[in-house]
Amino acid sequence: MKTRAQAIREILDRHGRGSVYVASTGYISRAVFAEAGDDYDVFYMQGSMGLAPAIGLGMALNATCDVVVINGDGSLLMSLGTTHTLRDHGPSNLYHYVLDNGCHESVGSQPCAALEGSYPGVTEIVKISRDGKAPRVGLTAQANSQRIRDALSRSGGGGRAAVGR
Amino acid sequence: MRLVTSDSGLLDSLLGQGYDFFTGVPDSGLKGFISDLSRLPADRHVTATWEAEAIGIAAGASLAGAKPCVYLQNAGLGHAVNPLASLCIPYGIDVLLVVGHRHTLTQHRVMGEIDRSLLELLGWDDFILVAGENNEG
Repeated sequence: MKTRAQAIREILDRHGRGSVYVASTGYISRAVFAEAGDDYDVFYMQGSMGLAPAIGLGMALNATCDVVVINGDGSLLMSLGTTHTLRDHGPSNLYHYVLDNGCHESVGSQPCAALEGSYPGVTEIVKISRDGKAPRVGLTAQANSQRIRDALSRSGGGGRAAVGR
Repeated sequence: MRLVTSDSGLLDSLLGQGYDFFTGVPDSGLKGFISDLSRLPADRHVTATWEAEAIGIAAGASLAGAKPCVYLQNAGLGHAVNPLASLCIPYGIDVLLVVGHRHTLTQHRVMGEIDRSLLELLGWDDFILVAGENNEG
């Protein structure tokens, strides 16, 4: 079984620095920050548990770069309906990974319901070990959103004209 | 905050103001507005499974430079509270809410009385309450 850091490193290596990442709340954001440092454009979603894939969908529909969501098992289950929205609306530049440690580790490792083997709208489920926490994400929410706005704008974001009136 | 009595012409008005991405959960009071959305290209409108998801989608769209609008029935405001409080406000993300103001049936009475104050208590001013209500059937 991979460690959380190994799983995150592999995803970052696979999708590279030209992609924009969305990291789910809690220990996943902390671990992604530890691995990605200043080298990658990562939106650290530090509240709103369950919504990382929804945020990724909104980005991917309005940008041309690849958008890579790093979610957790408990967070996937919290908004499981989003998998069907991704199935029906997810564009080809959106990737959705789920790191599965079988528990809510960030708040005390309480067990969560076991995942199925696959879900619509999920690129890959990666089983990981329970590794404890990395240091807190070291940038403010405002600085983080500005960096992501800049990165998505460089990738050809900026919304699209709502034609067809 | 704006209070309107009908959703007639609302989409054209929002398009005229630059709104270019729409997501939400349907309400009978917004039937005309949602029907008008079918005129847009498929990737400009996403029907969400619940209101929190809609706000997440809209937040991502906003970060990518779109000007998003989320539509919902006021019954869904409870689902919207956390993403407004923990995502949109701290990260400085603008999302317009178009809220169907249901208030007459028993199950809608409490939210019908507090929907506006709930959003104001959150400090969220960017919403339109649509007072029209369809309770037929």
